[in-house]
Amino acid sequence: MTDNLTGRPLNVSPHGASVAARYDAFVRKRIAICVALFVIAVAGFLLDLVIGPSDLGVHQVWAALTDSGQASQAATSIVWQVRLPQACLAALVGVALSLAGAEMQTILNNPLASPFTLGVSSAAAFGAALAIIIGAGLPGISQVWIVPANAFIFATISVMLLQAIARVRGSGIDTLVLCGIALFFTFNALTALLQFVASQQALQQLVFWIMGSLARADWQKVTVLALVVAVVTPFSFAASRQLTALRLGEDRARSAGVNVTRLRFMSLLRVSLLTAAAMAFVGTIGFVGLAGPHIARLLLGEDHRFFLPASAMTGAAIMALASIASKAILPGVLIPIGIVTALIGLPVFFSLILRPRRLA
Amino acid sequence: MMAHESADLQLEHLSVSYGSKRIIRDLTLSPIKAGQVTALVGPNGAGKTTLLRAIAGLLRASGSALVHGKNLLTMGYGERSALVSYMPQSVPERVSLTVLESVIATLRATRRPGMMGNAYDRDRAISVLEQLDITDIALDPLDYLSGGQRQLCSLAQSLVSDPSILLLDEPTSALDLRHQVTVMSVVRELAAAGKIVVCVLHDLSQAARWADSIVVLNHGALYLHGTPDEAVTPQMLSEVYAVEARVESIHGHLHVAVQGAI
Repeated sequence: MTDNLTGRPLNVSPHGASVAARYDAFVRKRIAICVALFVIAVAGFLLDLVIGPSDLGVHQVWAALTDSGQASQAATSIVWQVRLPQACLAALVGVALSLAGAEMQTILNNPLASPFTLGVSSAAAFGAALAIIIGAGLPGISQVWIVPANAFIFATISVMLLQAIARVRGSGIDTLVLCGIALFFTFNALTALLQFVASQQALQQLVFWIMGSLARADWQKVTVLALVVAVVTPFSFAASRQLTALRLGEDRARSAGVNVTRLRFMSLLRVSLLTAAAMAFVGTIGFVGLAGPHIARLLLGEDHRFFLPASAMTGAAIMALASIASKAILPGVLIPIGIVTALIGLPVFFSLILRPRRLA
Repeated sequence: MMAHESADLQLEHLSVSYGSKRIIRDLTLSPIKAGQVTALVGPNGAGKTTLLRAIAGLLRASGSALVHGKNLLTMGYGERSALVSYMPQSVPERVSLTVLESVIATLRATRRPGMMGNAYDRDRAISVLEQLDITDIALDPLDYLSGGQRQLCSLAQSLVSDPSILLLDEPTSALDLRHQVTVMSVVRELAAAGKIVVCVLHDLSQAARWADSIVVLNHGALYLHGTPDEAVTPQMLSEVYAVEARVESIHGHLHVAVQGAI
């Protein structure tokens, strides 16, 4: 083989060839981990379909899904109108939030960055509060969509604010993170203010919204979120090489030809779409966006070709498990998923971050 | 080749400011020659790093840095990155990538025309690790490396795209003696292959030993640009570094022996 950059032959010694072989094995291992995570996510999704308050067996769920005519009317309706949209929404929300968290952690060079910690969720909650308590929303939006629309708009606004701060010349990444934290507190305070003046009924509705729930899932929401994820994800993956280079430092990335300013802008745009769309439909779910990427990183490192898909899969798996737990912990009671996510994710998360580090 | 399209690097009226503070003031140098190692020296805060980053396009600068008749300062990202590589002084911590992955990642950061496949990138990265004698840490995560190993890894990242201009910011500051020699020998080989190599060095004896020419910066302006013999003198040491020192020649190499502050 010749070196197409210098025209000289590429001299890889026998030792070099053995390094190459080890590297190839290493890459195969990472692909295997990605596949394993995908399998886990799918398994979680399927289990999520099977488990629920109405005691349908695996056979009945399968019959209802395949529409083979053997399932009862009730079973078909439960599977198609309740379980499938909920399971789909859970998986999509996991993918969206975890992917957004992964990108955020990379572009802000901060392992604590996530849609939740940087105020995007708080902004969404404030938008929802405006709709629920004051009834304020954009004109022309039907009553059904007013809460998600408001949540979406405010989540987007919060990321745009971060965006604007990032554009101010001379403000570093740390400033951006601090501003995100300031946004978090600002929107929380504004929401609290609305809660203070809210009626008992509206307050209850808002608290329930903020806890995060899949109970509002329907096919329309699934479709919208699926579209957002389907449109944004390819751009995310396409930026994976540049994002990996950014992990080596801003100077290094720029010297390697990455337009970091543009990369950050586009990435924050993707983050805002993914988180706003996810939170609009399920409320604030905090943990996935932080833990999903961390688990993925611990499992296979930060080559974003693997890291991004693995984060998405981990997010989907966490959400599926949380959804299962939210139905299974107290039979007959659907515990808000925002609560369960943290409770389920925490042990996994701690066991991973506290495990003794080993060489790859 | 026409005079204005020289392969050398020509800095003319280069200025860099941070806010209202001017770091580099209207700097014009005689050509930095391709095929030579140029050391950039000067006391702390003289503007060495700023100058390298400006040439690398990482800072907004006025003036011009011409190579082959083209101004590096106004070039697009893609074009410049194919030509110039900057090795930063510090390497980020907490990065979950292995050495080899990081070098490949640098090579693949942007899609360049004529780029070959994954196996090519891998082998090219490995050949650079071999050049720097660090294949033994190829699959170690960056997190686990010592400061010196990380510096070698960073140098590998800078070399992998085979740029014709190398701007190295203190490439040997964290290295043991053996690796200093390895790195500076590689740097000399790269220059011998016709590249423009500019290194910020703090050790003047090292600069005199390895560089063909030395640029002495002081307070953001040129103090002197000349051969090691011309640059490393007791007079320069007292005027620029404010130290009293002797310069001795041992086996044909200059050595700086500092006696005290002035």
